[in-house]
Amino acid sequence: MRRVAAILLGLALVVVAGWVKAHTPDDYDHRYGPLASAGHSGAPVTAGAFTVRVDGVTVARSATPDRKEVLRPDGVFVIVTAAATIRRVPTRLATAYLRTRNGYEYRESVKNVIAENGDPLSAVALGPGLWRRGPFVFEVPPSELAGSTLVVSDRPVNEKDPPGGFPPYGFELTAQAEIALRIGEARARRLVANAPERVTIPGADS
Amino acid sequence: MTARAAVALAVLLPLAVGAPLWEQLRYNDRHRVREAVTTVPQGGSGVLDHASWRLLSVRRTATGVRVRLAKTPLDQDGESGLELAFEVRDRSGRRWMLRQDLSGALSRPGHAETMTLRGDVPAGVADQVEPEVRHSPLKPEPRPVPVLRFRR
Repeated sequence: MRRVAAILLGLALVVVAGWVKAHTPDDYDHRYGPLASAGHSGAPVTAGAFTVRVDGVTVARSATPDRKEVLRPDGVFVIVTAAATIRRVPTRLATAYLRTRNGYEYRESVKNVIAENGDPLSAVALGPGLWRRGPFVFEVPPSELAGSTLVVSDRPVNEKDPPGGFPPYGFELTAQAEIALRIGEARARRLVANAPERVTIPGADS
Repeated sequence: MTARAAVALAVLLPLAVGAPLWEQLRYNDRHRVREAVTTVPQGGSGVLDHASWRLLSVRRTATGVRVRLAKTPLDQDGESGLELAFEVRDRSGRRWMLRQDLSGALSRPGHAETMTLRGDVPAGVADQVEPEVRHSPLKPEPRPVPVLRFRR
């Protein structure tokens, strides 16, 4: 009887070990990936020490940052207007990108698209008890807009980040907010169809 | 035999779990940012990054505070402000960044220069925040971060 119990216990332990192994991510990026807090547009999402809320999304075919220059994206500019605050220590939401439902990830546009040398929200130092509002701007193919998610983190952009390397260096177990923009197929088509030819994107509150 | 196995398990299991955890905690502790805070009494001055610093005034503004500091470089290494950060801190340890007003004055060793800094803080703490000058290295340094904290 005791032997049977020992065998059953041994088998149960093997099953448990197999389950644990099957549910442990094999690759480093997944095992030590960011600690994500998910939410959706319009609701504040708290991740680690910061809180961010998406207030709106607009799309433009080009941007005029200084009334003369016209900057065109490869696809469309997606302008996500958000507000953010921090709990204790001044920090920037330095890492922001748009993740599409196909798994593509678009970092913020590297063009200086903000009006009059203004800043995107990612460049603004946040302070406790104060909300700052501003844009994140991405260049995205129109077909990738539906189902996209804004991903934001306060981890700093690291110079060790290899060119084109993604996810960014130092991502391990960092707090990250993932905010679904709630753009379905129909809304995406409407946003692209009604996208103004030129917009002036205001910078973040200073 | 069973008793021996139980004792062995009682020793080995906590070790197997505890040792990696202890190592991880040690790693986290080594990489934690530490501060070496020097508190400067009212009217006094302190030295940080090869310069002497004195708080001249803290005024409440419509959106936060305006801070005036006197900086006297002690040598040529004290002329640069590249590795400095200016902040204010409330009693609970929350901190806000200050921006420096542009000034045409050149820093020279032995000559005091007045710096004006502004920052937004919640109205409720504007009268209690204390200014801080922090060493903010361009590359991480293994030593604690030197901080001057001015009493008001």
